[in-house]
Amino acid sequence: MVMERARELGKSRLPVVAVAGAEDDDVLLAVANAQKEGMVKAHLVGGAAEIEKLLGELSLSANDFHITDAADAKSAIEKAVELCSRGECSILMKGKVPTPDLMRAVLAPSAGLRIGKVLTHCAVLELPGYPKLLSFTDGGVLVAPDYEQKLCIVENAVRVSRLIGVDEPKVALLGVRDEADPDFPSTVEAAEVARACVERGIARFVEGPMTLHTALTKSARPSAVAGEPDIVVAHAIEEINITVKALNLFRGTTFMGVITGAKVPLSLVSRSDPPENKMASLALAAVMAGEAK
Amino acid sequence: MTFRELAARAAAKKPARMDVYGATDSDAAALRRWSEKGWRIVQCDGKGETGLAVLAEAARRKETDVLCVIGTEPVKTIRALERALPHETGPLSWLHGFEIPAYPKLLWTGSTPSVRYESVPDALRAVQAMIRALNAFGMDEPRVALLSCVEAISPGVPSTIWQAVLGHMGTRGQFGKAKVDGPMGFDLAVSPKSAAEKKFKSEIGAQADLLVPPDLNTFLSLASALFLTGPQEAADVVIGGPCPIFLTPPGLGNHAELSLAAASLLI
Repeated sequence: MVMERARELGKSRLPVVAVAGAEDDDVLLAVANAQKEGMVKAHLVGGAAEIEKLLGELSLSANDFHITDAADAKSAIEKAVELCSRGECSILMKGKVPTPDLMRAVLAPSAGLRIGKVLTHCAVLELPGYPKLLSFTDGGVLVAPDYEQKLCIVENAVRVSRLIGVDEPKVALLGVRDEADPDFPSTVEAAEVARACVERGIARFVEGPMTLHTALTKSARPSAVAGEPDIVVAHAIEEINITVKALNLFRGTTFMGVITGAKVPLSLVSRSDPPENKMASLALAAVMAGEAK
Repeated sequence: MTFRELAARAAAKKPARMDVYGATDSDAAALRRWSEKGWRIVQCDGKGETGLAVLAEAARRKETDVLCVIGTEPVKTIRALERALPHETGPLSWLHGFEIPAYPKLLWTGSTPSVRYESVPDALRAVQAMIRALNAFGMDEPRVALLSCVEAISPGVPSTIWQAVLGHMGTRGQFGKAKVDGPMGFDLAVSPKSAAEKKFKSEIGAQADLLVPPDLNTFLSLASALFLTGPQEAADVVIGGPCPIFLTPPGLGNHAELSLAAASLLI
C-alpha cells in the first residue's frame, strides 16, 4: 500500500533522499531498489571511494547516484543535513552513522530542520493477520514523554496515518489496565491524554488506557478503538522499542520506521534490519515527503 | 528446556492441596481430573477482593500448597493478593513462559508489578527470585537478559542504570550459575544474527531463557506481542508469596495444565 503510493507520487515529482553514511551494503541495496522502483532519487553522502567500491560489489553503477564525499561520519551527517536544510533533498536517511549523532544534528537549531514541533518516532507495521497498517509510537526518540509530549506523539502519528491514507485513525493509549487506576499513575495519565486528544481535535477516536492485548482484541465492551486501532501509543520508549522488535523477529512483520516533526521526514531503522525494511521505511518517508508538498 | 520436559518433571512431584478461586461450571471437568490425579482441591466461595483475601489467608497460614486463580484480570489480582498478604512476604513477581515456533527453547519473561526497579536492591531481589524459579523448573544455568531500548548505559534512559549494575554483578558471577546481562535490546537477547551484525558480545549469547523488561507496561506489551507470534504453548505463574500462584483463563485448558506444572515445581 505504502510502496504503491510512493511509486504513484514519484511519477509526478521524485523526492531526493540524502543518505547520511551511505557506505553500507544493506542501505545501498535499499536505496538502489527504491530508486529503481521510481520512489526516490538518491544522494549518497559518505566516503566516496568506499561507496563506489560497495556499489561495484553489488553490481550497481556509481553513475546512477549523486555522491558527495565526506571524510567521516560527523562530516557525512553535516552534509546530509545541510542538503535537506537547503531544500535540495526532501528526505533524510540514516546510513552507517550513529543515531544519537544524527539526532543531535537534526535537533540543532542552526541546522534549520526544526519547524517548532516535537520530533517523534513512528514504527508502521504490516502485521500478518492484522487487516491494516498498525503504527507503534514512540519507540525511538522520547524516552519518558510527559503529558504535553504525549499529545505531540499522538498528533505526529495521526499525521503519518493521514498521509498514508487513513483519514480518521483510531488511537489506543496503552496502559497496564483497561481503566484508570490510581495504583498505576500511567493509566490515569493515559485517560487524561485520550480525553485531551479528542477535546483538542487531534483525533476523533482516541481511547485509553488499555493493554496491548485489549487493543488488539475485539472487545465485548463498547469501544471504537479496541480490536481495530491504527495507532498504539506507549507510556515510554522501551515499551514500543521492545514490543516492535519482538513482533519483527518472531512474527515476521514488515517494518517502516520514520521520525516525524522536522522539516523533512527522517528514515530511521536499526542496523540489523533487513534491506526490505530499510526500503519500506524509505517508501514511507517518500510518501510523507510527496504528500507534504 | 521445553514445556514437555517441564511437565515431565512436574509429573514426578506428589500432588498436594490446591485452593481455587473463580471456578465455574466450565472448569469442573479439569478440577475433577486434577482431583483424580491426587490434588486436594479446595474451592474458595468468596468473590472479588474479599475472596482473594480468603485465598491469601490460606496461603499465609501454610494450609495450602498452590493457589489457582481463574478468569480474573492478572494485574488487579496480583495487587489484591499483595494487599492481603503480610508485608514481610515481599513483592509478587509474575512469570510468563512461552514456547514460540521461532525460538529453540522455552522463553520466560518476568515482572514485579509493585516494585520500581530504579531501586537496585529491589531489582536485585526480583531478578534473584525469578532465577530461583527457573532453577526449580530445571534450568541449572539460566541466561537472563535485562531488556532496554539501547545497549549503551545512558543516564538519559534510567532503566539502563540499574540494569548496568545487575549486569556488572552478572559478569562477576554474583548470580551463581545464572548468567545475567544488560541493558540490551530485545533482538540482542534472542537473535544471534542481530548480535553478530551489531558486534554485541554477551554471555547471554542471544539465547536468553528469561527476559526482564524495565517495567510492567513493557512486560505486558511484550507478553501480548509474544502471544501474537503464532500457535504456541504458554504458562503463567506468580512467585514471591507463601506458595506459588497460577493465573489462568476459564476452561482450564492446556495453559492451566502447564501453569500448574510450573507452579507444582515451586512447591
